[in-house]
Amino acid sequence: MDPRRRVLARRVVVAVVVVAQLGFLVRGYHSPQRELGWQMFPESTEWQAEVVRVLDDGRWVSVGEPWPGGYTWATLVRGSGLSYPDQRQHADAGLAAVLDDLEHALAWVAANTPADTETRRLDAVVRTWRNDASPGPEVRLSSPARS
Amino acid sequence: MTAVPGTVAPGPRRRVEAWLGTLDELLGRRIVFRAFARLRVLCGPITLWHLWPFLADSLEGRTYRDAYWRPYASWLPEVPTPLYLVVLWLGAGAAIAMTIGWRAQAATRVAAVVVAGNLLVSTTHFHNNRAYLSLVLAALAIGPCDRRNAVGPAWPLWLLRFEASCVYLGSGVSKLLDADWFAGTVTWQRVVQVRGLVEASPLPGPVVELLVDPGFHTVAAKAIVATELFIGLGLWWPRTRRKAIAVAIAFHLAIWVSAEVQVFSALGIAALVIWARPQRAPQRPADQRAVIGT
Repeated sequence: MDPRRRVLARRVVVAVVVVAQLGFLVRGYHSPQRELGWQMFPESTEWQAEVVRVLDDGRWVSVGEPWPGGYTWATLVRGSGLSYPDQRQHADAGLAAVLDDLEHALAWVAANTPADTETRRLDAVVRTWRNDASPGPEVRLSSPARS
Repeated sequence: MTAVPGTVAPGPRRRVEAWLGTLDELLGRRIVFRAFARLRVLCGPITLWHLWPFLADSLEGRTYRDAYWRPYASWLPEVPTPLYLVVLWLGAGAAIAMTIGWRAQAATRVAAVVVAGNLLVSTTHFHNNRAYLSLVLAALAIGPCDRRNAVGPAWPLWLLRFEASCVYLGSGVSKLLDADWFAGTVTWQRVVQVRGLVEASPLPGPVVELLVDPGFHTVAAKAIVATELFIGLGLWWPRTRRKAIAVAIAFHLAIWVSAEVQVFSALGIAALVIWARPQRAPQRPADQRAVIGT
């Protein structure tokens, strides 16, 4: 490559990486997931959720109860840190990240349990505790209705 | 700035050109990438350690797509499971090759692509330690890392130093700006939440009492913030670099024993080799001529 072009390309690559990283650092203060924001151990907040299947007749059934198709919540969300929502637990990457993940997990489970023909949607009622252990707002999350 | 009588102060354009010239010299300076060769050897086992949970799942016939996963963008193509598994094991082989030095540059590039790809297939794979490993491997893949006396332009080393510094500064600044963190509430509550484990640990009684005392955390939190900021800044200056490296090693060891951080502490300590002063290599004539604007 022409030496001048090489120098220009080098400048561009370095500038893109530096600007992108600085952008991710700033984004970490607004985004729930904070990728490349390098905010380690950001909170001591805790959460606990009651996750239920909402049936066609409106009844709520805990995901801990037997599930048509033999599904189990812990298996369906394995590896995501959401396996045991009924236990009060630390929000490792922050409460916003947990709520964001749980909402998407509800949608994924609703869309990926074809043998369950009785569930209209999944809901979660999330209790939260702030950094100082005082109760925070209760948050309700829902999956889209299943067709 | 006061112009010397009889001379003309450089205009803004000249100053920018001079600044860019200095930047180009720094980025293009040819150095011996001994630190990268050492880091490559250390990153092989760390990469294998990182990949192991995914490999273990594959041995039991599981992949991330068997449970909740989420692509970063809906338009991203799904990786077929057989291809994903082949690539995953290829990454494991590359990690071994990195360590033993067999086709080391190519192996590092393969490992970098596999680790980054595995990180990007699902948001559920994201953890700070994995992202840091991806960045380190990317830098090693770009910069020469196959031989101790490999020579190349310095910019991959500068970029990796920048990223390493951002890890500490990003963490330190975020804690500094968070009132709960800086006051000690966050660390105190984290200890309170695991008080049973702390009390059951081999720590002496007075130490346990100290750890659950909120007054201790008002001081400890500020010490943690100061530590992270000192590492992030102190690594850049030769006068503070040795102290920053020593503090970083102690810091990472403390995190290793007190928190579940996967490969972060091992990687953080290994990556400190990039702060060794690189040996300069002779410039090539073409590089000396390639200063834009002159």
